[in-house]
Amino acid sequence: MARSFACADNKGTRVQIYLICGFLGSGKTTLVLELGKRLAELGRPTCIIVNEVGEIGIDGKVLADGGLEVYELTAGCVCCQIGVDLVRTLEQVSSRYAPAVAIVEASGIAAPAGIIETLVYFRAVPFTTRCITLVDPIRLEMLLAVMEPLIESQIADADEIIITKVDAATAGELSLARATAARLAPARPVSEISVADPGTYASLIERLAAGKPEFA
Amino acid sequence: VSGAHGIEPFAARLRAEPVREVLDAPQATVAVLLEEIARGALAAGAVLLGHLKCHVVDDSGRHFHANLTDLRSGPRVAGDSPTDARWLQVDLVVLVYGLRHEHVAQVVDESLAALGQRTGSCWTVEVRSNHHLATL
Repeated sequence: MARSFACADNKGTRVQIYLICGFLGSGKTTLVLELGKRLAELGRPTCIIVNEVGEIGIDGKVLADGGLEVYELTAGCVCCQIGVDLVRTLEQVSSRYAPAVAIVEASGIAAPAGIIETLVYFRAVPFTTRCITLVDPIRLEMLLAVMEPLIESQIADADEIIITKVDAATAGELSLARATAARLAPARPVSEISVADPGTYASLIERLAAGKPEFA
Repeated sequence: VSGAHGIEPFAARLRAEPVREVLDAPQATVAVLLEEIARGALAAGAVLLGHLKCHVVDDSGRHFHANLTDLRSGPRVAGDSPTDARWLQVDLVVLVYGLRHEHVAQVVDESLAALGQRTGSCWTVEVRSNHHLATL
């Protein structure tokens, strides 16, 4: 479920924070790019914070190429190393221009629980978080074999699961992704998208951009 | 995943002084480079491809990006497709599990050398980064 947080005086516009998680290459940047563009079209003040593994970031450049203003955190992982940088960045952005939406793209090796725990220290404005985890069905079986704890925590701690790349996955891979989501995140909404099927993407983006994170 | 199965981020800024084959198809060339690196990393003992990705800018400021997560799906490329560039600047990030960063660097060097030999182009590594040596 989405989590709501108050602040000291509980004043100011409530910010919707979308925390976008998922393993490396699961499609996070593509989703953030499309969501960011749509929010810009709608005139909703949005801040995008990207955390990448390693010193040199690529995702921030890709998002900036798309005309979006991006804050990059590349000095470590926000779930365990530089959570304080995430809070500072959110505070700075909140004081500079009151965003209606903040999109945080976690690194592919981040566990959502660590980030959500860190966000407790962001007290500049009241906010609601919604953790969305993207799952690449093509690699899920292998990832569960090699790094089960991380992958399971990314799914189990999400408010919503999105299975990506459905156009390229086999029926068996899709079945495993659906079953894994149902096992680890029961009763959490699961949707399926593909860049090859713009309709699936558009409906998701419209729902999130409209500020209606919950499924109807 | 820890120890020998960990990930040591590797990044580099490359500059390509391409010849006609590269100029005619810079996106395809970069896609081939990512595939070469992925194959090389697996051959060198990587247990898992995390994410290989790059951002490319040409001398006119046109840009595209490419990434690869698995060889079956292959590389995905999006953005401008420059056809008359004099040079390309490629920011490359290689995230693979199970290889030390110096081995990743060696794989990248070998892939660049092979690509250069095949296309007659000159690829230079301007900057390398393995700043985050802590195993993640």
